[in-house]
Amino acid sequence: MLICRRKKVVLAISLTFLGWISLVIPAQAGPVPISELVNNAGKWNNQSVELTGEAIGDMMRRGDNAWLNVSQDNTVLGLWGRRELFIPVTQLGDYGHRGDTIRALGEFHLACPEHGGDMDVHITRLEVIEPGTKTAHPPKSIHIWLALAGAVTATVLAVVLKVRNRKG
Amino acid sequence: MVCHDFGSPLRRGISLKLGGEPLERLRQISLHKYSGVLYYTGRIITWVAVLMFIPLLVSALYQEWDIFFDFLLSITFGLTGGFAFQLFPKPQRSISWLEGMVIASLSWVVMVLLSALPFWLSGFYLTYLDACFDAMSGYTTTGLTLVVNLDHMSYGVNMWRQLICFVGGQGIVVLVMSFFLKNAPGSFKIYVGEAKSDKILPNIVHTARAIWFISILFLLIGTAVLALINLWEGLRPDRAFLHGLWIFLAGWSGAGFTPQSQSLLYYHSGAFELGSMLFMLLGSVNFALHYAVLTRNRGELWRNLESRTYVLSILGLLTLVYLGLYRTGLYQGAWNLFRKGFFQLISAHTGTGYQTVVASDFLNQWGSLPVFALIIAMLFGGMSGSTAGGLKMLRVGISTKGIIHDVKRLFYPESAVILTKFRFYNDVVLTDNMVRSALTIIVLYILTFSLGTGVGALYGYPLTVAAFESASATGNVGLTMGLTSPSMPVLIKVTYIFIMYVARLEFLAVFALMALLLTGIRWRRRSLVR
Repeated sequence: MLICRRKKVVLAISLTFLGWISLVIPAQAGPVPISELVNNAGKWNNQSVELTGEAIGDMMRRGDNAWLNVSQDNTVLGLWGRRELFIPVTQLGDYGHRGDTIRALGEFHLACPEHGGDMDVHITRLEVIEPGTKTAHPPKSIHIWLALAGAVTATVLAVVLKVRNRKG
Repeated sequence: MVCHDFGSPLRRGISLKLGGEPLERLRQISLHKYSGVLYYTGRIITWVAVLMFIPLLVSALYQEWDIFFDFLLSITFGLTGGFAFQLFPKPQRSISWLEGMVIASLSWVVMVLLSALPFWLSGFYLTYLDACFDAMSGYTTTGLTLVVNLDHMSYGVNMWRQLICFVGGQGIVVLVMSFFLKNAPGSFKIYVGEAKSDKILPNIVHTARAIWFISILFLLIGTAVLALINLWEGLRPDRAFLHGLWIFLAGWSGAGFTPQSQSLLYYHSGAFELGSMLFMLLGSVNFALHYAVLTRNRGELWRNLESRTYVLSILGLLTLVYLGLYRTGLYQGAWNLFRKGFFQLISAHTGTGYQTVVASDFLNQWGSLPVFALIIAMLFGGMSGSTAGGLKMLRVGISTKGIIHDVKRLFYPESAVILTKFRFYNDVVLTDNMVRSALTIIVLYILTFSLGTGVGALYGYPLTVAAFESASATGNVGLTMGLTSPSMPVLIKVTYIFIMYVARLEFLAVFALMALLLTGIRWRRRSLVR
C-alpha cells in the first residue's frame, strides 16, 4: 500500500511538472513557418518564436539597431534587433544572389506598438545556417538572335517609311 | 465571291465582285477610313518601344545581360509593329470622335500586349496572360500583381514596371501628343478617348505639355525627397535613389507597384510613409488645380466643388476607419492609428494601393467597418483630371448636388425656376445633363464592380474578399486581401484585366472599339450571306 501511494505521488508531481513545462515552452518545437506567423498572427502575437528564412534586400541600419527582412516561400517578415546581431549576415538576396539563410529567435508582434503597428519580430539571437550564393542568369541565344532579326526588320521598315515620307 | 468594306458604322456595306477597279476603290475607301486609326496607333506603339530604352540602359548598368536582350527583342518587335502600322497613309483630315476613341482604346490593347513581352521573357511571370495582367495593371495604375519572386527581380524589369505606371497615369496618348504629334487634326478626340477631358489651356497640345511639365516637376522633387529619406533610413545610395524614384513613379500615378513584395511595409519607416502619402495625395489632385495654384489662383483650392467633396469624403471615411480600428484595439496610440488607418485610407482613396498592412490582416484583424470604408474609398477614387481612378470626386459632387437640387424642388411651386450653382474653375450652373452623365458613369462603375464581385464569388471566395478585390480593380487601386495571386483562376484574371481596362478608359472608348468590331463582324456576315 505504501508503494502504491509513492507511485501516485511521483505520478502527480511528474504530471504537474510536465504541465508547467508545456505552458512555458512554445507549443511548436523548432522553427515556425513565416506564412504561419503572418496568416495566424493573432495566435502568435507576443510569443517567442524561432524562424528561418532568406535575408533579402537591404540591411537598414537605424542607430544602434537595424531592420532585416527575411523571406520564406514568398512570405516576408521584418526582423528588428541590435546591429551586432546582424553582423554574420553578409549576403542579401537580390537578382544576382540568393541571400544567407538565417535562423532567428525573438518575440513576434502582430502590430508592434514601438514600430507604428508593423508586423515584426524583435530578435534576441540570429545565426546564418547556410551562406548565400550567386545566381547565374545567362542570356538565351534564341532571344539574342530574335533581337537581331527584329533590329534588321525594324531598320528596313524605318528606311521605307523615311523614303515614302520624303516622296510626300 | 462578294467583297465589302469591313464595318464602319457610318457607311453602308458595298457588295462587289473580286478583282478590277471597284475593288481597288473599295480598298482605297477602307484604307482611307481606317488609316487614321492604324497610323496613330502605330505612332503610339513606336514610342512605347522607344520608352523601353530606359530599362534597357538600367539592365546594362547592372550587367543584367539576359534582361538586356529581352528588352532589345521587345524594342525591335515594337518598332517593327509600329513602323508597319505607320505604312498606312497619314490622314490629312481631322479624325472623327469615333476614330479618336478607337485610337485610344486600340492603342492601349496593343501597348499592353507589347509591354507584357519583357515581363514574360524575364521569367518572373508564370504565363503570358499573367504578364499581360501586370502590364494592364501598370498602365491603368492599378497595381494588382501576379509577379512571382518579386524580391529577386532584376533592376531592369523593376524599372519597366514602375515606368509604365507613370506613363499610364499621365496617359500614353497624352505623352505622344505632347511631343510627337504636334497639332494633329482632331487631337482632342484622342485625348478624350483616354478619359481626359479637362482643357487646362485652350490648345490641347499645350494642355498635354502642361500636364507633363507639372508631373516632371514633381518627379524631380519627389524622387529627391524619397531618396534622401531612404538614404537616412539605411538603404545603399543607388538603391535609395532607385527605390525613391520607383515609389514616386507609382505613388504619384496612383499605381501600387513596389520593388519589394511587402509593399511599403518593407521600409519600416514612418518618414517614408509620410513622404509617399504626400505625393500620393498630390497625384490625385486635378492637374487643372495644380495649374491654378502654380499660377497663383489659390482660392480655387477651397472654392472648387471637387476639392471640397474630396476633403469631406476623406474626413467621413476616416471617421469610419478610426472608429472600427479603435474598437479592435489593434493599434496602440494615435500615431500607430494614423500610420495604419490614415495611410491605408489615403492609399485607397487616391487609388494608389500601397500597403503597410499585411494582406491577411485586412480580413482577419481590421473588422468590417474599416474594410467597408476602404471599399467605398476605392470606388470613389480621386479627382477628375488627375492620375487617380475610381468614380472621381466631381461625379460624386455633381450627383450629390443633383439629389439636393431635386429635394429642394419639392419645397417650391412647380412653376418656380431653381438654379443650383457650383464652382469648378468657373461658376457653373447644374443641369440635368450633367447629373445624368455623372449617374451614367456611376451606374456603369457599379455594374463593373458587381461583375468582378460576382466572378470572385463564383469561385467560392468570401463575399468580403471578392468585393474588396473587385473594388480594387474597378477603382484601379491595387489593395489586396490576397485573392490576386498567380494561382487565381484564369477567368478571374481575364475579368480583372477587362475591368481595369474599361474603368481606366471610363467605358466610352472601349465601347466604341467593341461597337466597331461587332459592326465589322455583322457587315462581313451579311455580305458573305449575299
